[in-house]
Amino acid sequence: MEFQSVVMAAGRGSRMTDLTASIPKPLLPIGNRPMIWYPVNMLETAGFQEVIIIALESTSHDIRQALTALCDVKVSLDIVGIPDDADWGTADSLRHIKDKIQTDILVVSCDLVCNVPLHQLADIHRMHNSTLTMLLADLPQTTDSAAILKSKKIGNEQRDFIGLDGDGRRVVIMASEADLDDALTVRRSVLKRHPCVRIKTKLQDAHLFLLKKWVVDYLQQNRSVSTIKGELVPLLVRKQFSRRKKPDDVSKAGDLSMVSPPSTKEDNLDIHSFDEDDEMTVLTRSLSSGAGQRVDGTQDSTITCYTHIVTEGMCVRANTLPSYVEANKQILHELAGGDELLVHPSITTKGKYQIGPECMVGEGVSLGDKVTLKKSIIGKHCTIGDRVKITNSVIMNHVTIKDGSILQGCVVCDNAHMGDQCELKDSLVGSSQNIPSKAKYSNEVIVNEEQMLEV
Amino acid sequence: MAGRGRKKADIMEQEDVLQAVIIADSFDVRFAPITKDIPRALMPVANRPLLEYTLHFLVAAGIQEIFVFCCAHANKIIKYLNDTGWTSDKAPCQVTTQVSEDSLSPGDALRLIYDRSLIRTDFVLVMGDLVSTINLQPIIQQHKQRRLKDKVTVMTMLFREAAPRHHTRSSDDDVVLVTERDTNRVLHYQMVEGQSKLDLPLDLFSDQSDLDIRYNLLDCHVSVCSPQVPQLFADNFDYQTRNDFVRGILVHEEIMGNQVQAHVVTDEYAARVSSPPMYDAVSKDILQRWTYPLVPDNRLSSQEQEGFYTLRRHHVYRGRDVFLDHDSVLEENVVIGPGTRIGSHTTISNSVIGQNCVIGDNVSLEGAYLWDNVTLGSSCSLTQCIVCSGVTIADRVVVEPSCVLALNVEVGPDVHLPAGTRVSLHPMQTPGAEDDFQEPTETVQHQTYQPDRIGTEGKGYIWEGDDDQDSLVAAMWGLRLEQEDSSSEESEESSEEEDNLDEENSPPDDIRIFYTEVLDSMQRAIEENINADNLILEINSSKYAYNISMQELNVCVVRCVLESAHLRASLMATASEYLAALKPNERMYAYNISMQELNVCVVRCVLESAHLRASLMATASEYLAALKPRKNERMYAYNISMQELNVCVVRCVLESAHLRALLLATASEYLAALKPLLQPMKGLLKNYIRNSESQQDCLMALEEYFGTHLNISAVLVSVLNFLYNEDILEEDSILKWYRHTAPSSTVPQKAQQQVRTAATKFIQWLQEAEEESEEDSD
Repeated sequence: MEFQSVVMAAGRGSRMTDLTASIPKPLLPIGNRPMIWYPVNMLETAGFQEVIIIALESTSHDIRQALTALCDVKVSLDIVGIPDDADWGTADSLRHIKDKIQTDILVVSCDLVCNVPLHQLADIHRMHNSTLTMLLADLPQTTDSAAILKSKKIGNEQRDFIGLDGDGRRVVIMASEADLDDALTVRRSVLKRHPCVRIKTKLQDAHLFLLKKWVVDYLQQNRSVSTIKGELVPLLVRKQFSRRKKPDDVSKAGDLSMVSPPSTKEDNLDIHSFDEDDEMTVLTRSLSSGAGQRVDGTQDSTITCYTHIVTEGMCVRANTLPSYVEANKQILHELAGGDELLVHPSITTKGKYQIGPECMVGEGVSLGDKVTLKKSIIGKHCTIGDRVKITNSVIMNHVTIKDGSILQGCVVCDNAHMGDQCELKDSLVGSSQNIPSKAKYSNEVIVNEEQMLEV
Repeated sequence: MAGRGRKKADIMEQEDVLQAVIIADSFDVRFAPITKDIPRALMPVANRPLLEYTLHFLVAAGIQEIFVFCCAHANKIIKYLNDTGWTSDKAPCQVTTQVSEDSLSPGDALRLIYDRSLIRTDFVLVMGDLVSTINLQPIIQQHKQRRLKDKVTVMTMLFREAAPRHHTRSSDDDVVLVTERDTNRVLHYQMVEGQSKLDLPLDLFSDQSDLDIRYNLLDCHVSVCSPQVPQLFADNFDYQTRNDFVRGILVHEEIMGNQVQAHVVTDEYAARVSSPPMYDAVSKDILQRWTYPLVPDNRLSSQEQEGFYTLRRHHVYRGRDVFLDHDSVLEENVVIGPGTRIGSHTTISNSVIGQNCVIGDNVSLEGAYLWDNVTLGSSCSLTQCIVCSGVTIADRVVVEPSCVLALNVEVGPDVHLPAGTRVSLHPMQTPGAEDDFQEPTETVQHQTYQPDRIGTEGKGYIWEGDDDQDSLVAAMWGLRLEQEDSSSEESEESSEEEDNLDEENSPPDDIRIFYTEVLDSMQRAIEENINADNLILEINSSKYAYNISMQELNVCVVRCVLESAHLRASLMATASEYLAALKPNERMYAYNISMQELNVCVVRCVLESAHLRASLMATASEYLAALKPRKNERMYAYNISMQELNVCVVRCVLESAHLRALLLATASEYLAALKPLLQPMKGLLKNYIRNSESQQDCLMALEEYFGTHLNISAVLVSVLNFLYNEDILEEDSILKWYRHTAPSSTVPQKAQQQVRTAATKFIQWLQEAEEESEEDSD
């Protein structure tokens, strides 16, 4: 076994609370499948036999249920629950399952919807023997889907500044706009080794990482790192250019170079000391004429960060409302070309109906007369009345929409009920909401008042 | 007719003539003391004056009109150009000299060129110390095409790709360039010499998403300029160098709309002989034929004789009539000028020897640059040095690396010149007065030679650099580069460590200083009635002084406004005035403060007033009591909900009254303390307690407060009464609160009940009043 895979599904969906208020984030439907099915399926396709899923204790049963019973997942699932009240970051979660980690690991977030063959990433990891290999997407972001809730821009769009060296594979600079005041600081030592750095700001981080096993050991020692993306990755990228401490000044310099305050002796360990070379590597290096100097100029640090940049296919992270809508849309687009049946055979219809090519209709849906569906997803057991028009929308399960309503660019959560002749545009309807007849909404969030976060 | 036709053709031709400007003055003293006698442009490099390389480069590029700008030693340059026929009709292009006596920088030179209106079209600007083989034609064409499309590009800078530490990269041209990937437009241009890190402003990334940070470029100071470049120099008197110019263009890009383009060449050669190490590096490149066709054995013009040099193996160039005695070895990369005689058992490598030199026996030369007519005694050893024309070195002289022997100096015998020695016939002047372009003056007081240092037959003064220059010279010669590098790495390491500390410590410090400063200026402004505009100016200048971000600025300013308002208010001791002092502060709007931030600040001020009162009155424990109930760190966080705010305000008012009363500790006395306080605070409360939800919040706060201080719960009635009378609390809200006991985390249920019992009296009165009014209406 070369890699173990870990799916991070303990997030609370804090960037799309309107959606996750009633449904746990990993189980939010995308293309009528729970979100977490996509990363698990990707791992299964790549040939993984076992997947470790880190989830909140309260949701772990539902996740197992959803994956095995509904989605027919065959890999063996090891679902590790973490306490609901623990506010853990992704690195904290990794630390929690440390004992299960035997090899290098692949960490993926549960909100990644991506059809990139994973072996491409693994090849880079193997080729460069890299400490960290990350997946980045360089895809044109379609902006029209963000029409939903345009006015309430959810969270500032935070860009990552990613600096790549000449051939665009090695990551030499990594900074998040949120952490910077007004300048991006670049060390001259970095520029000396990589004199031509290409900075890209529109790359999307897919939150899929291949990490060496020793990194987990390091996390075990250094407890101050709590998230992978926010802290561990920038740390590793930075440490590519710091020097391995000489044995005698480890104790002296360790406390300064590490982020953690020196509490115990073990905490003082230098990050480089975790990355021990095996004998063969040491021997190779001692016999080679380069005398310890690597081809690419890194002399001392053996930490290397590489990336694989996706330029085609789909790769979306559904972690905000707009990106959730976008993910649904892209899934429809992907599936429309395939041979999978998008309209479930069990639907009941009354009279004429019109279903566009990029549409998905779930099990047990009943459609009224002259229903028009375009680029939309209808969940299971929904009841759609006569002359209803649904465009660019996501309708979850057990939703009732009465006659003559028009929905455009909406997200309607489970068990919602909508009266006659409603007109909704670019709005979100929370679960179990009742929309009275002839209501008109545009660009609004209709959820339970208790959930509303009043300013 | 014919005449008119020709005239027209003339004009056409003039439009198309390619012009170039050579700045044949370095405006620095890198080559002192050599440049006391001859200009840098005329220094021989591989036995050919430097200017010759620059001119041939421009001729090869098809330039038809060249202006040689000279300043120091102008007469020598003019004489040289006349002697070599460059200014004659037979020259491949038209060369004219432009002389200025008082120019101090390349900027002055361009201003002069503008004044004389010499430039009619796009032109090439080069320095007079350039050795290059770049084919300029396509680059000029590209520049022109770009200009046809869009006039915004004023300059195309040429760079040569060269890794950091490349031998032809001079340390003072250590440039980092940020370019747009698709167009190669320059976005940022910065010298990084001696800096361990580079700060790129985030504005760079606002428009572009794909940029290159390039540190692998050698700035060869060749630029294709638009005709408005001299004008821009003339408009901006502070542009001294091209670097100033480029930076100025980039800074004012949004206003002026001018852009700078970069062009990177990879295969061709370009380097400037800008300092002694570069002299060394470029000379070696010429000998190793990187600069072909600009190599010693190639005849560049009709002035030069055919077959002057013959090329042999290992890049050994021998001139005519060279006499080489037995057992002497020319190892590699050597040029021997015509007429030179070399004694026996002499070893020469990586060196250039001029014409008619005489070199003795058992001499070892490594990296030595001997100009013409040098006489070298026996058993000498010279390493990496420049020995100018006419120098005589007697027997058994050892010259260590990085030495410079200026014209006609005599040294020896039996001396040892330590590394970095510079000897000249001119005595050294005071550092301020010695300039590249100053003519030697006779009035300098006579100094004696130092025979112990330059030998008994020596003639010349040793130039001792002052500290500044010493390090300059040391850094100029390549030898120390490695040491320097390792030390700089060390410093990088330590700076990285400092970084972590920096992040934690320094910013808050700055903010604190900035805060006090803003507060000071604001108070002064209030006292002296200073105009708000002036105040804004003052605050802005402090912002730059302490490098404060806009967000921090906003926060600080509001805090200060409130603070100063508070200080005034506490003097006058009424809250209504406190609020009044708040409102006219239009500065708040000038800094674009959000409502939320304002709220935070108000809360904080109220808290602080609580603190002030407490500290006036009492002991440390009370001070703690004033602050403890609210985690004040959270107050500074920007997302305080309205509910929290309301609760907080109410509590603060009560708290401050309570503090006064604590000493007295009885309900009646507390009431006495509270009453005068409530009156002025009502304005503040009214400002926040507006709707029924906030009233509930207010009541919750009251309940909480009196629930924890049961001994004074009797006061609740009067507080409620006061708030009711002031229309802050409405009847419905109070009744609603009274009937529904909301579960609370801080107050035990029993206490809640007690609070309600305490309020019963008031509730009864309320209900009675209600009934009465109902009866009335009936």
